[in-house]
This record gives sequence, structure tokens and C-alpha cells, in this order.
Amino acid sequence: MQRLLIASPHRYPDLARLWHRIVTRELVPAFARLPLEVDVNIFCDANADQFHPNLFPGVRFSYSGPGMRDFMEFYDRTLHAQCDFLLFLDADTFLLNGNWASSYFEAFDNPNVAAVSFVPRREAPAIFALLCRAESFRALPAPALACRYEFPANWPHGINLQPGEFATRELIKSGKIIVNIAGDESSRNAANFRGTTGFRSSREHTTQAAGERVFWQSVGEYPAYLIAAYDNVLLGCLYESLYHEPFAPDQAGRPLGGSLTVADLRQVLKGVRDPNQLVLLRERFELSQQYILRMAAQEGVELSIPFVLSD
Amino acid sequence: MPLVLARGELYREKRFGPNTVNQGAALFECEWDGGRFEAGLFTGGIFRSGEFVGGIFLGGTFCGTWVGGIWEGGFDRSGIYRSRGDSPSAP
Repeated sequence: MQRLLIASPHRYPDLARLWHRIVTRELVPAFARLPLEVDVNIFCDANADQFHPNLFPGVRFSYSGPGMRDFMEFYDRTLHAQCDFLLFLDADTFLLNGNWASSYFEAFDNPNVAAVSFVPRREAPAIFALLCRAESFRALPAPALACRYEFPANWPHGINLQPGEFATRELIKSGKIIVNIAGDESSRNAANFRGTTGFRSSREHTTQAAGERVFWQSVGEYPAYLIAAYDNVLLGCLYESLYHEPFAPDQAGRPLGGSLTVADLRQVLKGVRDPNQLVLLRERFELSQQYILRMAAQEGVELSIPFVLSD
Repeated sequence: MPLVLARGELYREKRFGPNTVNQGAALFECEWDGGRFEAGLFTGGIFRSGEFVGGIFLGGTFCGTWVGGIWEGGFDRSGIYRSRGDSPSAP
């Protein structure tokens, strides 16, 4: 039987529990019915001691070490794991309909199909949820999946290829096909809370290197941070309703203290004056609300979503 | 007199020349050309030249001289990604 490996790098065990819950409920059984032999692999990119195996039944863990020092090396190392197909699924991306995802497996009947991208980036294939034919990617020069910078000396006008973009480009050049699910269809079947992990790690790094005050300044300067902070609030609502534990706590255990607490987010949002930015934030918050409410409905729980943005 | 950047300061999309010493500021998407980076955070941007002796480097492009500090990830002068704990000056 052909083997599928579902693989993901994670920094935070709370988010990983949500990810694992949906992967094991939706994806593992749906792909197993095809039939495929399905394995799940989580790479602990940080906080390895907090990933308790009993909370993640059926998961094989990988840890940071030589040859796999961070999530970027994890991608390429995992290409050579014992499997025929790989589903790279980001820590903050949820495929909510396993039958929908597995239905695309038949695309691989065409030997030229190298991958199916379930969640696009600006309507182009992306690694957020990428189902790969392993041999196609293994044929590329290493590192195939890591991000890279072309023409770096021309900064800021060089080309910053995100993880997987180099591989996609090279495969297409060689005549392979990447099936790219369009944004509309993707949004109906997947939920993407992009940047939530990055925001939490950014808080750690910025505070460590430059102090808490600088972190607060940076929050005000980057709208993407506000979106990620709000998405963490939503993920926290779902997580706490399912597990009755704080999500993204700080070292004192304060809920969302490792991201932005609801009170802190409200305070920062009060300082946003640009009407265009407010419209953008409102639209993005509404999209994220739709995602989390769909996830809650699947779980059979009702969420009380805190109000953060005034009219 | 050198320009000294201190802890608690944040700079975004600024250029710093050889007469700069960073003693703890955070630089987001900045261009560093010369100077000595002793502490703080460099994220995004390009470190064209100068010495990095301390602080955290995260996600930018590094073409300078790596003496020490924490390499969290970023690109070397060829644009190749170097993983956490690597040295951007290594072959």
C-alpha cells in the first residue's frame, strides 16, 4: 500500500493540539479510505519538553538537531522520509473537510502531477497545505523547499521565494503540474490563521533582544501583527472551550499573554486611526470569525467571541 | 562621534552607515552598511557590511562579518537560507 506522511512543524503544543485534533478526525481517516497508509509527524521547532506524547496519539515526533535544526530544514529532510506522498500542513492551517481533500488524490493518476496546493498564497500554490508526490520533489536540487533570496544584493528589490516556491517554479519549468485550488474553494473547506505562530515567536524574540517596550511599538506598526493577535484570540476561544486551559499563555500562565490579551488588543486597536486600515482589519477579522465559527460548529461547541474593535 | 542605538529604540526601513554602533535597538527591515552591531535585534533587511558581535539576527540577508550572536535564521550573501544556529560566514 502506498504511504502518505502528514507533516508539520510546530512551536506551541496548544496550537498543535487543535491541529492534531482536526488532522486525526478529518484527514487520517479520509486518506486511509483511499486506501493509503497514513502517518503523522510533528516537528517540535521549540518547546519540545511541552509536547507530551499522551496528548498526541498516533503522532511521531521529530526534534531539532543536526540536519534538522529548524522548520526549514525539517521540510527538506522530511522529503526523504519513507513515504510516497507528503502532506505538508502548516501549524495554523486546518483542512476542515477530509473527503474534499482526499478527493484530490486522484489527480496523481496523471504522472505529471507533482502536487496539490489546497491553500493558495495570492492565488498561487503555497506550502500552507501542500500534498506532494515525494519522488517529484526529491528529484530537485537540495534544498528544494527552503525559502531563498534571489539577487540579494539588490535588496529591497531582490526576489524572496517563500518555502516551496522554488520547488514549484522548478517543477513547472520541467513540465510537471501543480494543481492549485483557488481561494474561494479553499476558503469553503479550509481555515488559515496565518501568522499566529509567527506573532507569538516574534514577541519572544523581540522582547528578548530589545525589550518589552519595543515589542509594543512593533505591534502598532504592523497591521499583520494585529490580525495575528486577533486570530490567536479566536483560536484561544476554541481551545479553551475544548480543553479548559489557557491558550498562548505567558510565563505567568495569563491567557494570551504570549500573544496579546483581549484587553491589550483592544487598547492597541483604539490607536488605529487610518480608516482604510480599519476597513481592512474589520474584513479580515470577519473572515477569521467565519473560520472559527465553522470549526466550533464541527466540534458542537458555542463560542463567545470577545468584541475588540469599536464601531 | 558614533551614532549609538540603544535598547528600547525601534527603527524601521532606515539605513545605517559605518559610524553606527547598536547597543540594543531593534531594527526592522533596515539596511546596515558598516558599523558594529553589539546587541539588539536585526530582522528582515540587509546587513551589507560591518561586524555582528551580539544580538539576534532573524530573517534578513547577511553579507557582513559574523563574530557572534544568535543566528535564528536568515540568508547568506548568496541568498541561501541558513538555519538556526548556523554561521552565515561558513562555506
